[in-house]
Amino acid sequence: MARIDLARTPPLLSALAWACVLLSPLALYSAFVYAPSEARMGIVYRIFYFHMPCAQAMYVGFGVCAAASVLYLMKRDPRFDAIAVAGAELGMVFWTVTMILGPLWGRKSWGVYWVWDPRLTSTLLAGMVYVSYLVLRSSRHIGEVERRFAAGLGIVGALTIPLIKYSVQRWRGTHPTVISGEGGGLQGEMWHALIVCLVLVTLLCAALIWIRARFERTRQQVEELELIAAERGLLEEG
Amino acid sequence: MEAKDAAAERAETFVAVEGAVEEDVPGGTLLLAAYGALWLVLMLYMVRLLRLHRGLSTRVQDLRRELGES
Repeated sequence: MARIDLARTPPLLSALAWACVLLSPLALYSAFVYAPSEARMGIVYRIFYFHMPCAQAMYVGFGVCAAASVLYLMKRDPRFDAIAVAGAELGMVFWTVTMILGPLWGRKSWGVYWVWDPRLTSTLLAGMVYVSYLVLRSSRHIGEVERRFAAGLGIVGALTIPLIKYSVQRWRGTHPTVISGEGGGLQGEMWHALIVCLVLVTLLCAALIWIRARFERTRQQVEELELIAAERGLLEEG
Repeated sequence: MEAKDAAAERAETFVAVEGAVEEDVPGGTLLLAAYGALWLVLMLYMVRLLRLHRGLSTRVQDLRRELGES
């Protein structure tokens, strides 16, 4: 019988959580104090220190969802299904943050909140695919067919990641390319601040995916036990 | 000559201001809104995880009680 234990936290997960707690003040200091203001945009460019790491965390979430979906379709192991759900959900959390922070920066830089730039449009498309995934997974009792269909959706959604990544180089929109472009890029202190924020957000994303996957796996186990108990007539009616 | 709209006018003509320049887009407010939104989304997700945890704990306890009683 499956062993359900939500109270025991794996030591590595605790270490990840503690690393996030300790890195948070350092990241805030780096982004707001250590890094200099940008000459043309002033202080509003500091949004970048969390916008870009959140976009990377979104890629991680969607990538984890796709990889776990492939493994689920190959092995039919529910643990991979739980990881896929967690990846999609965290991908959408960081997608939401990215899509709020970006337009706020755009208002200052472009004068408008939104432009139909290739990167913005492809990111919106990726979000719509994973919203569909989460809507499909939101019903309480879903069967194997729905799980497999969702896995396919998780894989298709990840195909938009290279589209987002290379759309700027391919179709040259208005989205900045300070990391991947051929311009001057970032100055020394700006790089240091970005790396600290990138490490923090990536660790936070990993910790949250792990926690969410544990909850999803527990939910699967509880459902399995409820089903077995109901079949044996051990549960009360209603 | 037809009257041009504001965007076309701006694209073709730059007009010098007189006196001090006042920024029409407040960068500080946008920055505050951005970090506020970041924390709000993360906190809302933490609340979701807490509710999920509580719900699962209740279901596990109910299951244990019902199986223990039968």
